[in-house]
Amino acid sequence: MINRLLICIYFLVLSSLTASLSFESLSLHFTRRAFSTVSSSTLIGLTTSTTSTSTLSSSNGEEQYWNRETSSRKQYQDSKPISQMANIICLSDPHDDANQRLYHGNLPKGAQVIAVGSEIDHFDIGKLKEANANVIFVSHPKSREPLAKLIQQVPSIQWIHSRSAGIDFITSNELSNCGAMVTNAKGCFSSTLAEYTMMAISFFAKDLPRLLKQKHSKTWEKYCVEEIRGKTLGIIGYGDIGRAAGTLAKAYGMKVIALRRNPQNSQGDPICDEVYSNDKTSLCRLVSKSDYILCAAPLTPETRGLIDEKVFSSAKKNSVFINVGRGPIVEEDALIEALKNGPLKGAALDVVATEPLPKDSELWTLENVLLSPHNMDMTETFMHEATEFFIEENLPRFLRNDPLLNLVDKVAGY
Amino acid sequence: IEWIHSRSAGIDYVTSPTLSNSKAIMTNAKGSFSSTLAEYTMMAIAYYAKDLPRLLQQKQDKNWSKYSVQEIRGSSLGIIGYGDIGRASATLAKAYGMKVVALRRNPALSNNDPCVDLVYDNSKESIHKVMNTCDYILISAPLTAQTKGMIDKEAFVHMNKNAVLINVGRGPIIDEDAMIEALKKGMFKGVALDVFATEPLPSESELWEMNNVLISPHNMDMTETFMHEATEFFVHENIPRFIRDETLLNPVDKAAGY
Repeated sequence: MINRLLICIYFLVLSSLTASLSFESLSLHFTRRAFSTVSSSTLIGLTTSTTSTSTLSSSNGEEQYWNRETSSRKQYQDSKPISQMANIICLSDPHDDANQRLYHGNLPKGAQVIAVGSEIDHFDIGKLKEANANVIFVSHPKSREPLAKLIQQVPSIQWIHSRSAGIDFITSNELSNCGAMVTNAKGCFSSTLAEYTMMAISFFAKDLPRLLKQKHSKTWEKYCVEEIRGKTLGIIGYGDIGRAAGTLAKAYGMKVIALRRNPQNSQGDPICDEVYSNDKTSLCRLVSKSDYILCAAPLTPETRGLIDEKVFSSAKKNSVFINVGRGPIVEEDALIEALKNGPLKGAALDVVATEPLPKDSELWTLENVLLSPHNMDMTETFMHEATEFFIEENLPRFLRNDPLLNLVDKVAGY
Repeated sequence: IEWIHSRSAGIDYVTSPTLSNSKAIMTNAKGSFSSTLAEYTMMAIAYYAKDLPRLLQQKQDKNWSKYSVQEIRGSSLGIIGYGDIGRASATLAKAYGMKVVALRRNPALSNNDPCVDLVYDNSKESIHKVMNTCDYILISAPLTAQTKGMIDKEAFVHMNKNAVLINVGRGPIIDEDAMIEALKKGMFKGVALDVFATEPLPSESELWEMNNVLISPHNMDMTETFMHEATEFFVHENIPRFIRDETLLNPVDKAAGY
């Protein structure tokens, strides 16, 4: 007890001496990002690191968001002393292989895991408070309720990190209203989903279903294929995934048009030929100009049911719809209607409204649907890498009270 | 006859001693079909990387079963025959973050090529090395006396177990029987073939019924307009040059055969 008191006094003294622990830098974590981001990456494998200009960033202009392919690793100031501890609660499956490094491996000095569990009953709240738990690492799919309870019962929580990019699985009033920072895995899964997007486009452009049918019936019948070059990809939700897909699409010679909440953030973006803001009229216009429509948006109250009958009926005849965002963004009945009776030629869905997809869903039997079990970003190592991102990038930043990467706007929901 | 123009890129269908010995200039449609074949190449790669056959089977069975997919990023593409089609494929592969290894008769010509990480000559050793070290191998060579049967039984012995072979060149470059044998023995992962030793592919061919084979009827460069465009190339590019006695585009080395 005395030791803890002494440690607290030590840190108080240390923090008052350290210039970085200023209220200004603390307040940075709670305001919405209001600067424009200009990123560029060339197409022929020579990537330049993502640069972002910010009126609020720290003086060395470091990145605010992570991209697995282009961000430079460990750009925090290693020589800077740590100014706070990280006492971590893991809202996770203790047997999750991807988290083993977190549970048992070497963590940065000053960080420790104090509890692992997937339900509120797995935790001794008294012990958590005693240990000054201040960080929660969330990876369990059923975390919404336990997280809300932990937030309420452990007021010392300063930071919550989601191992996935989507945070729709943990949103709650408690989360929105609490003072803690929230970060996620934005940028960790994008390139694999971009690869899937181009595969989905090719699947329809080269009529892979026909190829496979012809093989089955031993039919040698030449037919015309479509070029991907010159076609238009319309991206709904131009975040990290949308941009990765746009980058590949540009390499193929496609035209790329995109829709996002803050179109001004894409000014000067070499990947995007046109940017739209997210009102219904613009959405319908984007869709009417696209040969391939990619939904890469997060699920928020604003995007839920966004892509509905009106949007599908505005779609170009024989266009293809691809969803790597979240199922509930789409009105599934309207999608099925558009697939059966036009204007859609087909759809490629890695996400659906209810997962696993119920056996009675028509999506299983519609011929012009390419279905995948929400696994198109699931590589052998992706979850390990997402955990590593927490350990190697954000934990060291938190310990030094530096701005974290991938701050989520809790109000916006992403 | 001073000039003979082939509307297609491949000229193996018109070669003869008479042609080789004639003094006429020969030109072809090199470069007219490359980008579509590059698109097909990336599709073939994705077909195996994301296990599309498994996806389609699971859909048929109404089976929602998650499985790990492979990243294309970071994997390697070996290109045998680094001409216009090879280069178009390399460009796309690089955009995906693949490592690109190229094999060509004149490796020096690719010295400063940003789309290629390593260049080899077209010796047997180089072919074996590519078959052994690359995740995906693309054959985009022309059919010539030299390339005929180049991918033989010995080459397949060197092929690595997880590799995928893609052919957009000409069927006879591969010893088809050796390939079928090697596939059956599980010596490599799978093939994607747009061209075959005999076209149309005879219905007796075992390839039709094999699981790890993607077959297309030599149509992966066949867009609605490609033949029109190839004719336009002749009309708008080479005829005006010929009339003005200027150097024609796409001269063919008749001795080399491409």
